[in-house]
Amino acid sequence: MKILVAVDDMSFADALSDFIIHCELSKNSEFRIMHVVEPVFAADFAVGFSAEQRESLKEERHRLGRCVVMHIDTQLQLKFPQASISEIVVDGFAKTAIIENAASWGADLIVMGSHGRGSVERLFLGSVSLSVLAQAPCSVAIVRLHKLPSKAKLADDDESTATSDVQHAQFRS
Amino acid sequence: MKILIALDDSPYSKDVLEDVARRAWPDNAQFKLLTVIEPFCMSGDDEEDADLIEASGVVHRKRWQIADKLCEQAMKKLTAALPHATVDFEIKEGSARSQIINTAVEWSADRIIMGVHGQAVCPHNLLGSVSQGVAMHAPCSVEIVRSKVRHKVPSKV
Repeated sequence: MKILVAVDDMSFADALSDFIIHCELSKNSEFRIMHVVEPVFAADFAVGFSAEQRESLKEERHRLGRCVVMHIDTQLQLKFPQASISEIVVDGFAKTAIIENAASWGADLIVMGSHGRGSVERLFLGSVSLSVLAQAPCSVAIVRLHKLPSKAKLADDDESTATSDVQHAQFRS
Repeated sequence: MKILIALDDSPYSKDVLEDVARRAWPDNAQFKLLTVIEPFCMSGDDEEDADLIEASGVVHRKRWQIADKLCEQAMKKLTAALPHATVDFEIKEGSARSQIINTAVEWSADRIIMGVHGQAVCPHNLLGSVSQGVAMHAPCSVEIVRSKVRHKVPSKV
């Protein structure tokens, strides 16, 4: 089984490796840990970065990316000493890079975190995870850092929502 | 570790079960199989028609039987494949999306595993509305199992 682990920053590194370790996937799993360095945005140009500064910013992002990737790598190696684990840090846009890489490598599962940021508040799932979820050629696991007690309800049709919310708050407290 | 598996009677759910059964889960894994029976829509005047009420009652009972059978078969399959795991099932009524999320919250699930219809039923809509809704609002990690086999859309749809 080929598992592509797409990691953003350190905040998800432990959650991702925990998820995979508890997944107890088949013994001959193959892992690829991936970090995507997104292009320096237009807003960065506006504050007047020189080409040199942009280059060093990019290098810094690559370095941070490699740190996160290696962090997960170490944890997976401890748990699966026999597994083949590779790491890549690439330039590009996260969602296309993840989908393309999963397709070209023939991944069976993509594991990624979800920040749910950079979008309106009610949208808990980030745009990257949502696009990957929709367009991936394989199974996708979205890992959450912690439960969201106050938000973990739907305003829909259920009378049970109110009670379940209280129960949920107790579970977390 | 609590794992909620949302099932329906589609071939995608069978793929999900097979995928789950193939893995080696920890001994303390607890599985809950969930099937949601969505409401039978009736409009204003229909609700006073005795024949329709009776017919809808028949349909409703039949759906419960089918859901019961589906869950029992799935439970047997999973218990056979994972003898150490605890498996039980639950059938709920309401909208699939909110019932899956509510069950995950009530049971404090660690993970939701479900299949995805989207691409087959509605090609431009790559992710089904239920899986998308659950992925967006779930309180825990969500795994969407997408089999590499494309199933045919039933002709009655």
